[in-house]
Amino acid sequence: MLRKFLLACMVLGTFTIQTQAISINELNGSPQFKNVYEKTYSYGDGSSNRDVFFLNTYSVESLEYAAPHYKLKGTVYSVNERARDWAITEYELTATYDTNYSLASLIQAQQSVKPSPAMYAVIKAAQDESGIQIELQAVKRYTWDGTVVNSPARLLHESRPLDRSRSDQDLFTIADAMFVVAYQQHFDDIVVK
Amino acid sequence: MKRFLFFMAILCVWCVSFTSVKAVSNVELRDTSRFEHIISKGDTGGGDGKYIELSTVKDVSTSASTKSIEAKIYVVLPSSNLIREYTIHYDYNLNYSFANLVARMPEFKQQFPDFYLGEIWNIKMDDSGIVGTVKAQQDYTLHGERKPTQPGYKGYEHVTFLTPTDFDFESYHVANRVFKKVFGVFYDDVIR
Repeated sequence: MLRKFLLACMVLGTFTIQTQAISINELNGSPQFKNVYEKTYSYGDGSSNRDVFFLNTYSVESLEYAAPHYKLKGTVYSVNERARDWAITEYELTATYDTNYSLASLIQAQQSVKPSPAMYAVIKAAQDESGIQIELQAVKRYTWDGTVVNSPARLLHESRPLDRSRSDQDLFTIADAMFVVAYQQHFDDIVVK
Repeated sequence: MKRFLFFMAILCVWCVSFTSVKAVSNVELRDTSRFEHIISKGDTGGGDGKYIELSTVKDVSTSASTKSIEAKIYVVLPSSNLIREYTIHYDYNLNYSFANLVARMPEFKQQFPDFYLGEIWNIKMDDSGIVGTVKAQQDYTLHGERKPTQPGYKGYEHVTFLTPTDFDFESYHVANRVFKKVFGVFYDDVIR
């Protein structure tokens, strides 16, 4: 009886792991995964690396809705294409949004300024405060065919406000994509009146 | 031969005196009748800063869609006993000013129904609309003595304290302030 139970557990465990693992083919082929950001890095020797981010659109859930503040959580996969190896990393991304700092809100606020609205002030305000904070937790690593990588290397965890700069362009775009999935509007198009 | 040597000596003395007149010290940069301190987020508060030499600022525009400015800007780094003088040329594409792009939103929306405000930000990240070109640079000590100018790192010669003027760089804001100095309005507030 115990032997049968253990065997059943093993079979169940194996299937569970297989269904949770993710491969390049699934990310590219399944409609629930949306390519939300990609960037190619070219080097002087002619080589290049490419990072592609997929959002699992079915995973986006609202944790908080108190306009103008919102909090969403979703699962994101980064595919790092390198000359010698490919790697997939699964992340849990929690993003907190304050639409007082969306571009539409900042522009709207400036348009009421007399004698003339100052769009340069919008740039300064948006660069000082993007309106989005994230908590990013790497969960698992996979090879290109979906095999889980068991590595002693620590999984990334960071929690911080995003910058509207090149260095955070990927996370800002992904957080915006989650916002679109949840509310059918881009973060920067929301106007707080 | 003696005459020639005498002439050369006179020439050297003249050159040295000429260059020392042109040299700028940290004390001189505080003279607000000649220089304006460009308030910059990049300043640490440790005495560093950027100063524009007012008499050198020139509108050299040759087209209606692109304004051009030339100026001398000094970057002070007390910890390195360095004043670096830049002769810089800025080109401002007025089509890419933030105000102009925002004003064209309805047109963009009509052309591309999925266009959203954040894409204006991305356009600016790809092309800020300002191109800064360093035409010459010269190093001085804080006391205004000339010193050999350090060449830029190989492959990064275009990277200076004032260039490139990418949208998310502090140098972009310096260029915006220089534009205001000449035209009375920030570059990003101009609508064509």
